[in-house]
Amino acid sequence: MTDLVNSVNPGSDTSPLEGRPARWRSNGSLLLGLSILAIVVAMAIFAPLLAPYDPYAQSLPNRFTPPVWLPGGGWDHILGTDQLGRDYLSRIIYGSRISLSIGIGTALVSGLIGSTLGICAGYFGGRIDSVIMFVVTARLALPVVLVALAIVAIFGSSFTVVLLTLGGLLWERFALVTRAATIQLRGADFVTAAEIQGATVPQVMLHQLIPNLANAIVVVATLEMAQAMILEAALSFLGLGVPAPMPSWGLMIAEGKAQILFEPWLITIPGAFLFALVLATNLLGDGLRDVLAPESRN
Amino acid sequence: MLGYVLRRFAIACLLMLFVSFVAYILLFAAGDPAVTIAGAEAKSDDIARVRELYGFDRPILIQYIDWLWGVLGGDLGTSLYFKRPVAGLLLERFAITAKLGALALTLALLVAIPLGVIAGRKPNTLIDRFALLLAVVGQAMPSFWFALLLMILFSVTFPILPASGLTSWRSYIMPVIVLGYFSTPAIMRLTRSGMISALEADYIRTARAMGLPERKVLFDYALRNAALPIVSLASAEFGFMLAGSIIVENVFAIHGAGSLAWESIARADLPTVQALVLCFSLFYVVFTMLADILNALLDPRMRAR
Amino acid sequence: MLLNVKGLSINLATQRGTLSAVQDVSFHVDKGETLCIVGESGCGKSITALSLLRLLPASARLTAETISFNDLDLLTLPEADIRPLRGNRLSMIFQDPMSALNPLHTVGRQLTDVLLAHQHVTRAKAAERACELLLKVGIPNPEERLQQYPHELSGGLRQRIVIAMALMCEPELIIADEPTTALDVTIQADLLRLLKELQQALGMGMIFITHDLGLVSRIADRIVVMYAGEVVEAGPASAIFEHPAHPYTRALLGAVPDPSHPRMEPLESIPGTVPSLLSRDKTCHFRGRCPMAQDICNNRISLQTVGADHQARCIRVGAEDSQ
Repeated sequence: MTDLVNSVNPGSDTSPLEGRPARWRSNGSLLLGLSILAIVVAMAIFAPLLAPYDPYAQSLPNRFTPPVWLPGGGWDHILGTDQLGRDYLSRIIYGSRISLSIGIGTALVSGLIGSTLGICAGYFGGRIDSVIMFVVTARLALPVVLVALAIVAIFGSSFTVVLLTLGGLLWERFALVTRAATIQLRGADFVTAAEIQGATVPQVMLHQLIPNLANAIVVVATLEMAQAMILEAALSFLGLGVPAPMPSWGLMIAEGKAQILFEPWLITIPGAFLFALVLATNLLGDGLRDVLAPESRN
Repeated sequence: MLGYVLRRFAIACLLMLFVSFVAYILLFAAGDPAVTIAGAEAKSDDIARVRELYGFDRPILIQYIDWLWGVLGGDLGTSLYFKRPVAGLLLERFAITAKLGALALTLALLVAIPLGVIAGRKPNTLIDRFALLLAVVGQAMPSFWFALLLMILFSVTFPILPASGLTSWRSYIMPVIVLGYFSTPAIMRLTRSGMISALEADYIRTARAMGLPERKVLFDYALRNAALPIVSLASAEFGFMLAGSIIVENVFAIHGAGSLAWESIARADLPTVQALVLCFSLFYVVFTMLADILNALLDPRMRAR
Repeated sequence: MLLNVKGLSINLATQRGTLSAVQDVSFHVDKGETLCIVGESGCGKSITALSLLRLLPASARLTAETISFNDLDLLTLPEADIRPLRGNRLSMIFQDPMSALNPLHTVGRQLTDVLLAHQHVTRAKAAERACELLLKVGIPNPEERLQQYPHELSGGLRQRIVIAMALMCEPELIIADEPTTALDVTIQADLLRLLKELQQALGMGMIFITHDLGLVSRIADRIVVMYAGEVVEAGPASAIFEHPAHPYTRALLGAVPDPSHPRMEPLESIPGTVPSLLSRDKTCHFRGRCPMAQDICNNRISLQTVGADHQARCIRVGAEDSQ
């Protein structure tokens, strides 16, 4: 009887827009996240068509033009201009490319590293598992921002370096989730069946394990993507991320910081976009988790 | 119990060894350290002399062991920039950062745990949605932007709080809030889900069936059980928070260990950077170890081991 | 009457609509009497018991004509007035002793907490009482046991402690929801005897919920048979065992292996399965598995009188059948 009663009760961790585990269409956070993300992706893809100006074109006589809703602003520069007279709207639009590509790229790299580690740890167990978990714990102990800054400082500030650095550092959640899921799947009948039939280890991993892990991996990927976007912005904010004059939103905030007294929009606008994008990605991840892999909730 | 503590301590030591090795390798990844110290325009003779002086001509492993030996004795090298022992420098700076971190963690716990308990007690109600919204926003908010927003609000628009430095108690407010908000979402979510699971447990049903007052059921029974993972998470979050202080100290111009980290990287002050990586990691390792031991003490099922 | 329940219905609000878990259930228990509620998993017996203490989940809707305990109306009493009754005048023990106790508190703490929740005594006095009770439930060295944690004890011991907890305040009625199901057969007999002794010593009413007819035969004064959320037969134990009227009851009795009469035929089982919660309609729920089903069984059947205080929900009551 307790099963009956429990099956009717709400589950554990969910997102604020969701009451019960639901299907695609009624999952509020999934839809909201997806729509905002879709808008930003469209913005990134169609940047050359959408941006009114060249994001790198300077125009010193036009510096610090306020956005259209403030006195002194006008429709020719809807979001105003920065300290070098560059159109903010165009920079924001092109900036979305940086955030998105770093986010996706990092998720791919860290996903590859983390999932490989996690699946091996879960599948082989024993010594290998202990070693991998030790490495994961060591990675958790390392101050990520500090190490990332140091690596970028050493190898030079560039898009590729930032991508690889973040990808090489942000894999721990992939490892933990895939490990836990693999341990569960390890004893499943279909895995044993494949092994008995003589499938090699890589074959088992590829054909039996990974398809069943895909859901959990996708959920972690969205969440790590959000993490990566924040971190890239933070690194760029500190001056050791994507190099100027690239329109990274974090860099724009840093450049705007000096004008905090009189031109605060230089800070608030890129931050608002970054916040919206990260929020959307997180909501998407939470929503996907509710739909695809509800058992992996806390 | 003692066995567990010893084992945990041994793992902590191994971890630090591993991390220290990683930190040391940084020195060599940066290129020839002798060149860095001597300067880019130095002549090859000078570079050779620097190399000999600092012992960079020895095998890497020997250098590492030498350095490690020094670290264990309290010698963390000499700052290339400040020209003084790193150890003393770190002590000063970490005192500030640790204080900020402790205040921030306290704030985070004071907000997150009650919110999590209430949300867990009444899932899917308005207060629960509010709590989850707070968590989701907190996890999406870049800390440097949040810091700057607070600054715009409370130092520029309504100038009531100082924007930089640590001059009075007021200057602590914004940095502590930003740093605290860093960890609040995770702790709140864990408390909430912990409470929900705990409240679904059979022993809670027993307690209620025996007529225990709801307050007792909530705190003595449910929260007590949910608390164990929260202790672990809080300790890990403290470690992450300290590492995140790099950003907050930069924005608020606070001279703690975080800003030292950034400055030292910018100045290529390698010994300081190495020592900082080591120390931040040490905080994480020590605190998570203490949390694990505390859990073992609190959980009678662990004490028997 | 100690407890009188009439027309109890429980509906569960779920994503898939409102499910009827329990329909129109009535029974009563007298002081010193043991009522056994019998039925298979999913028949609603446990949720009925939970509803008496008002421990249902938020999604459940309880309606009834009466639920009276002595002269208290359990149906309308506000939560603040029900809580003092639980564990005090009305106690319940559950099926799984392994998870029924809080792993982080000592046994003594959990026992004294119950007494302290209802009476103003010192913790020391409560501990004394706890020792008394541990002895009563057959646990020697009670002072030592008080300091122990649940994980240090066996399932049988834990269940005795749960029983002790339930009796701390000398309740008038105890509800036991399959208390021995999760335990060894050898321990079952001990615990059963213990419960019966305690009941007689304290003059309690007892509602004993089980699916095991063997147990029922040993302790029941009266029996209520439930199927798919309804009462299908109710009456004194002797009447039901000697003259089972409902086809389900008969099938249950026929399905019990009887070691004293070795049979040559295969063990009887009831073909078919219990209708799921979703598909419970206004017909006799048993008709899909009943050997005597007729067209008229497609209607709602009310309880028919079989004998003195003996009723069954079957219109074929009294009819001869192939058995």
